[in-house]
Amino acid sequence: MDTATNMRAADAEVREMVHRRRRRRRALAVSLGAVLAVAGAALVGAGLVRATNTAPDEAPSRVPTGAAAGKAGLAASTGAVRVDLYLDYLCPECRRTEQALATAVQDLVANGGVSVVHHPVAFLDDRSRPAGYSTRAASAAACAADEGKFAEYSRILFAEQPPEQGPGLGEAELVAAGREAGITGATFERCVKEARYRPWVRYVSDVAASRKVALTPTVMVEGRRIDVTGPDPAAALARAVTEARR
Amino acid sequence: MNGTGQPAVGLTAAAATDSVRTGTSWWGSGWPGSVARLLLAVVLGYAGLVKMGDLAEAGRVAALYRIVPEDWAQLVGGVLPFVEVALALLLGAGLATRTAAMGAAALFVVYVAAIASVWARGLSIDCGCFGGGGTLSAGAERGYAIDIARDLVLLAAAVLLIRNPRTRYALDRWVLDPKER
Repeated sequence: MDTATNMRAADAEVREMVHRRRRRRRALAVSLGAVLAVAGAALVGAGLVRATNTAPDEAPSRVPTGAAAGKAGLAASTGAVRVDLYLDYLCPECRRTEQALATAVQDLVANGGVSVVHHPVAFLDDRSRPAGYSTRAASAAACAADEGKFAEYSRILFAEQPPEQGPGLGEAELVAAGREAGITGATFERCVKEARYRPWVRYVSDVAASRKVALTPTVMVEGRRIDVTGPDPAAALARAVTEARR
Repeated sequence: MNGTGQPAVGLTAAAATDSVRTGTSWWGSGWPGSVARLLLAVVLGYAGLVKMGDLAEAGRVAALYRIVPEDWAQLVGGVLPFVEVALALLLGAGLATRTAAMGAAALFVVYVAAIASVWARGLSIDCGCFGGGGTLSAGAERGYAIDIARDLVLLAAAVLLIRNPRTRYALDRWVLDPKER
């Protein structure tokens, strides 16, 4: 009697143990599968980032006058030391940087020995309403480059920078800014209106992204980022250039 | 891996039949867990899908935090949405609930730490938690507080699931407790 109950209890216990062990094994397998699934998803993301970064589209056929070698920028001057400036016309910090660096960059261009390359990128297209002001402004600036007035035009666009989340400067204002920069003639206006360099701006932005430039403003000397957020960006730039020259 | 928190409780419950559970309180019924699962799945899934729409933007936002070097930011920004969606699918289906909840909890801890660090360093950004994001001129601090509060609520939901991963309408029930007896 007593032993029978005991045996039944022991029997149940054994069954219970087997069940538990099976369950634990299955739980482990499912967890492992879940970890692998998440890791796989992460790899897909990493793969997509790599794919978009390593293969920017081919350079567009139409590039503005003065396009740098590789077409992913505008060469203001040529020289042994390379200075790259990545600015977005809608980025408030870029406005500060441009204004702080304007004279220093002018000096570098004028004094020679430095190849200054401007990259008018459009990273903030979704920060205007309607979207796309960064691209419109950059492509208008490329039109100004055709007229040899990129630096002047840039300065005006930054000085008149519209606030984020607004409509940005309209077509007429972009054309008017050209006149302010000293551009005469109808070609500039036509170029702005037909958004001729929209594909080029896209290309410049893609190439910048593939070079791991994610933020604007970015200023590089010989491919190395320099900090332009400090109190004296011009001095930081000058120092980096001097160091690179040595 | 012996990561199961309370094996004794969980497995006794496993052995018990469903009819036993009807007697317990609502809190022990598995329904709160189901709600937590659904909440996490919806929020993570939405956040991930929105960010997937523009991976370049997601990478840029990751760079704005200035935590990982800019060279790596695009990778981080590109990977996170996919991890979020994968976790959302697992949690939504109730598959490997505890493991997925651990992943989600880890994610939220990282997010809270990242936002707190941005706040502490005085940067003014939009967290970009649901896409978008960028530099803000004003109102960043209020945003940080809201973002952290939301992440803490989600973290609590994840912790609830880690403590008791057995929930209603979960695939785990089918996979782990097939009717073999």
